[in-house]
Amino acid sequence: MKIELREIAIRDVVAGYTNNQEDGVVGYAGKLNIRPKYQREFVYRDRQRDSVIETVRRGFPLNVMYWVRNADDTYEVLDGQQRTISICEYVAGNFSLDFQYFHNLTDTEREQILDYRLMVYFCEGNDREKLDWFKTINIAGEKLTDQELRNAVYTGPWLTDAKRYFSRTGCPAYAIGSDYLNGSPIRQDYLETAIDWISWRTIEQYMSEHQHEPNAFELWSYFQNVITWTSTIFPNYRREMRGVAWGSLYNEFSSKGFDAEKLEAEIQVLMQDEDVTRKSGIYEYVLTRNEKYLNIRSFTDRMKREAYERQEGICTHCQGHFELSEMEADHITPWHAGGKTTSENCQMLCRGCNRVKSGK
Amino acid sequence: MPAPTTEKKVSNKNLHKAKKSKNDEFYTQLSDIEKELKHYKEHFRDKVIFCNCDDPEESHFWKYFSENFEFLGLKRLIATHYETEKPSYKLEIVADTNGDGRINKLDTIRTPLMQNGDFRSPECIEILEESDIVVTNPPFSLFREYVAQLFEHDRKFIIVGHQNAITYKEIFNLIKENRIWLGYGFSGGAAHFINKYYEDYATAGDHREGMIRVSGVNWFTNLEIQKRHEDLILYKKYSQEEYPKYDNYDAIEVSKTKDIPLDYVGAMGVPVTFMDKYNPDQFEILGCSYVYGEPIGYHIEGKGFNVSISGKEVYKRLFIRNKKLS
Ligand SMILES: C[S@@+](CC[C@H](N)C(=O)[O-])C[C@H]1O[C@@H](n2cnc3c(N)ncnc32)[C@H](O)[C@@H]1O
Repeated sequence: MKIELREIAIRDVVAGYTNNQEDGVVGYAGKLNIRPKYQREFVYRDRQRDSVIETVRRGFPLNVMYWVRNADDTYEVLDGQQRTISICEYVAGNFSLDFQYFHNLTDTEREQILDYRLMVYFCEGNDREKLDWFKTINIAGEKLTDQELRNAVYTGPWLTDAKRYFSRTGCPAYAIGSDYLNGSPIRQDYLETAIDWISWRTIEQYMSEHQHEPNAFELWSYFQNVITWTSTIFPNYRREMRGVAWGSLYNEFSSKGFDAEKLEAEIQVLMQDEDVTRKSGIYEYVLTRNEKYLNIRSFTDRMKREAYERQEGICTHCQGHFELSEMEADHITPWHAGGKTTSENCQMLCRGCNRVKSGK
Repeated sequence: MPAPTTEKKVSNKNLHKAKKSKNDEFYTQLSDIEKELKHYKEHFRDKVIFCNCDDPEESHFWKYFSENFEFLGLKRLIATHYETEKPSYKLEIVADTNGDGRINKLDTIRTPLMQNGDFRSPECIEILEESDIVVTNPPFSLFREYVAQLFEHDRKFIIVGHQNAITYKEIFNLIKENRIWLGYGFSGGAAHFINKYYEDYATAGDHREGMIRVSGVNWFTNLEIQKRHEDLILYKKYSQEEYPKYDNYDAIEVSKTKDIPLDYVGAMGVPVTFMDKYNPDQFEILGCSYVYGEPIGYHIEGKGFNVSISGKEVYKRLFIRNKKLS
């Protein structure tokens, strides 16, 4: 991993500056990707934009920026996007400061701006190194999410296409998935979730394998399938459904047949069960049958004490005598067989017996 | 006459006061003008620009073009001032009249007008005839007339207007025929105008001193821009349940633009805000429920003009068809 601090004159950054929907925002003679197509657009206020120009005009220092060097000798702005865009837009004559446009300044004033040097860290290395490094450094200003960092590393046509579907406000993935996913597309939460699902939790591997593919259609159709499957087997929407790992469930269970009506009946019962403390886990539970998703209510100290006194300190399994602190509470009739978390259904087992029992 | 809707209801007393003073005096901010006009730069080269509703002493349109005269390579810049009842004046920049090597506001020539600077006055129409592109924020209340005049004289234009205008009968026909379309627009679909007469009733977070927030404002133009050639990405599949048909017209209801199904061949009803995403290569506009159902003829005498679903009327819809299917 190579990290090098360099001074880059504004003159060089604004060379070949373009800002449009089709190509994203590009500068530095076409070699610098300032904002990749469909990347998050930070809401930068006019006032912040203006203060960048003021800083430059007074010759004060701006914070260090970070550029990443790609394999094909192009660069990507990892930190400093908005500041760079503000400068480029100003020099391009697209906005004025105190009613003065760049092209209305005197030659000396213009030269001063063009000669101003930005401090830029250039970083170079393989994907792994870059990612590790990005995660470690504390980037000043706008904090990037893990997925935004990955996006800076695995650039290419695949990512550009994926962002069309997953990374814009009101993007297709949001439109079909917002009932089922947490987070926001522009912070890359949707993209992250979709890749996490399709790759069985190996996001970076998936991204590096697909980096140079021409499009992300596979990911998008997978995501559509997940959402369609989810809304087919759970047609009655509840807000607890947002944030469930639907992709993981889809991967595991989409090939099996389910009776949506039967599932719904069971969900209704579980939703009303006081012992189920994690209602969103119900969806995972009805498919996996794993009780851990439900966070079944545990016995209170009062219930344990009552059972302990009732048993006179004797473990119901091994019949040994124990102190309360040496024992653990257990459902006499297991929860899945209809047993409730009440003191009547509570028995105290010594730690050893309880381990053996729950270990099965 | 549909006036721009302000955020909160202006109290009666204030409204009255505002009406008595200058109801149409919303001045566009320089930053909003910059954000829109930067997309039209190549159109301005060697052109005569006319700002005909502009009170040039106040207007940032004048400021924008005079400061950028050379940068944009203008041929000539003219602005007329409007007086209610007395003769007015025009400002003009043509060349480096003061000989300082630059063309800017210092080269402004002020000439009295015989008439009051009304955009409809023969004098102003004469200037209109000599100009190539009209750029201004005309009074909302005269919008129809204003646009009619532009078309009568076959001019290019970039003007501020209210989204309600889309469904004015005259304007809608132009929209349908792709002779007028929306520009890039104001952020969040609302503009903050500089206004000295109203108090701003925008909610606290959005309140700005000396400004009034007006929602549903946009730019209308007939100049070519990149934006109108971008396809709207569609992803929803059509289903009978999700897209009910209207009782009185053979089209499906699509209540949000982003939900337009990708595979529906026939007519679809969408909200007026669809216009912001309209690409004439992707969609065809068939009609509009506000325009008396006329172009498509579903309207039945004695009934409302709206389409309905199970007897319930649906607010203002544009009817469109996907051109890429079928
Ligand atoms: C909405 S204001 C906009 C002003 C300016 N274009 C701007 O955006 O800053 C409308 C302007 O049109 C002027 N005006 C009103 N009626 C007019 C008419 N009949 N002909 C020409 N101008 C008129 C008003 O005096 C006012 O300056």
